[in-house]
Amino acid sequence: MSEVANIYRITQPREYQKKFLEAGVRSDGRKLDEFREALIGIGPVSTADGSALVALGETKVICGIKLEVAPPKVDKPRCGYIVPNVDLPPLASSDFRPGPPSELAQVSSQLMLEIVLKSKCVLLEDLCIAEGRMCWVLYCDLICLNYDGNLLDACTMALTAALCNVKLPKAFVNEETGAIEIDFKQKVPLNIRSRPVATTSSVFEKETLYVDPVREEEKHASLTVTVVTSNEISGSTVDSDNICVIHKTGGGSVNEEQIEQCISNGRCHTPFVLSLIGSALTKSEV
Amino acid sequence: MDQLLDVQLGLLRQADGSSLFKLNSTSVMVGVYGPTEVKPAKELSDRASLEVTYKPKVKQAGCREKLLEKNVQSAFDGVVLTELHPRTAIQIIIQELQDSGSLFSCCINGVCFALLDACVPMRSTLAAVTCVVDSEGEIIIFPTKRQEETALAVLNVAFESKEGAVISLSSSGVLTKSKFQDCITVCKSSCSKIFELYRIKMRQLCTKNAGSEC
Repeated sequence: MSEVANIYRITQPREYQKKFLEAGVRSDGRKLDEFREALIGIGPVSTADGSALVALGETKVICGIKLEVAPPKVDKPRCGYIVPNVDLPPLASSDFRPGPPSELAQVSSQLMLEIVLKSKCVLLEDLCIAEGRMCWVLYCDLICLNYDGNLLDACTMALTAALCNVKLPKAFVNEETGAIEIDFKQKVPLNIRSRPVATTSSVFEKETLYVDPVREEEKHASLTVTVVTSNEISGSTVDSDNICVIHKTGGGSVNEEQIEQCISNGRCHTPFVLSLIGSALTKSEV
Repeated sequence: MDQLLDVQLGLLRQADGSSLFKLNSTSVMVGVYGPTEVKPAKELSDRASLEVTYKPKVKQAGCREKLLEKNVQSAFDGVVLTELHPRTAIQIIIQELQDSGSLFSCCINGVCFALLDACVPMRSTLAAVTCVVDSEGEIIIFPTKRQEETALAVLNVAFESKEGAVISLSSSGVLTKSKFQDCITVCKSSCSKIFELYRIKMRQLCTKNAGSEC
């Protein structure tokens, strides 16, 4: 990049982005509806019960899932529970400060929980070992290693891929003694009923809608809409018509055509991400 | 679809503006302080920073409450004329009095009333509607807690009064695209009642103030 352009980028960041977006391109050369290259690696963390590493351009998120046994919650004796936690350490970006989880981290954690539960990716009843006595708890830790925008898409991809990688040890109730026995040598893959895929679109100054924002673009977007498709798996087919979560942040107003555009961006992008997850899983089984 | 909507303004004497908003059985008390001093970490050089705190009735605030705070803050960031008060903070505190469903819309509407009572400059008013799609595919506006728990999907939308554009949108639960669009249409037609309530209350408030000065 020429020196003058670099100076302009640092001193007038908003005008720099505006020049590109008004011409229908992005500052990194992508078109408005073009996504960054995504890479998924399954099982990088050998000590975890399921793990995945996702690189969405420069945004890198690692997800590690640990299983624990615990008594189920009192109001839901037939269900286990899932505890997702998004961690944004200072190592990922200068925007993140050391200390308690920031607002972005807490909001992302809550959204991950909603995505997993509402897409019915994992049914909490499948995590029950013995009603009222014992259940599985999935602690899902999502750590952002490098932040370059579009955290939600990367986290959803990492969480979905890591959940597909989880194997539950066989747990059964001994009929004679009534005790609960867990056999760590026999493992069964977790029953994944759907694979949620998130697609984030942003709007700049009311008119220009673009997908997969980078960190520089996120700062100047007037609003961001994340659409998550649920993609239920039935047999060998995947139904990718349904949306399970839509979340808008940012104060800008959005009209109905733009919402429709965001939803169709989500639906168009979903098959690509699903095939990426699928091929990563097949490679890991080999 | 007869909903009980009621609001009382100015109940908190210390706050710059306050409202007690009731929607059927759900009620929230909102206090607004601002524009006021801001912590250097949260200071914005060109506009006011909106700080929203939501206090649940029982237990401590967790991630779920943080998401609600973020949604409220995003919604009003687009509506409050923050550019008029740079390097200040506008603090919005929402206290849950009772949550019997449709909490998000109760909060947004309550906050808007409190901001009006505090005379914080705004571009337009906001009307928020919660709707659910139940197991039979019926769309229900302002559901109860029970309806929210058993519904297939819950949708929270907030519209602004000038052009009817969507300022806040969050949905959770499986929906087809056409069902989602139907929900938006139904919500949009229900918010006129809330916009009307803003006008009625403001008229009452202004006439009361004018009367007391005489």
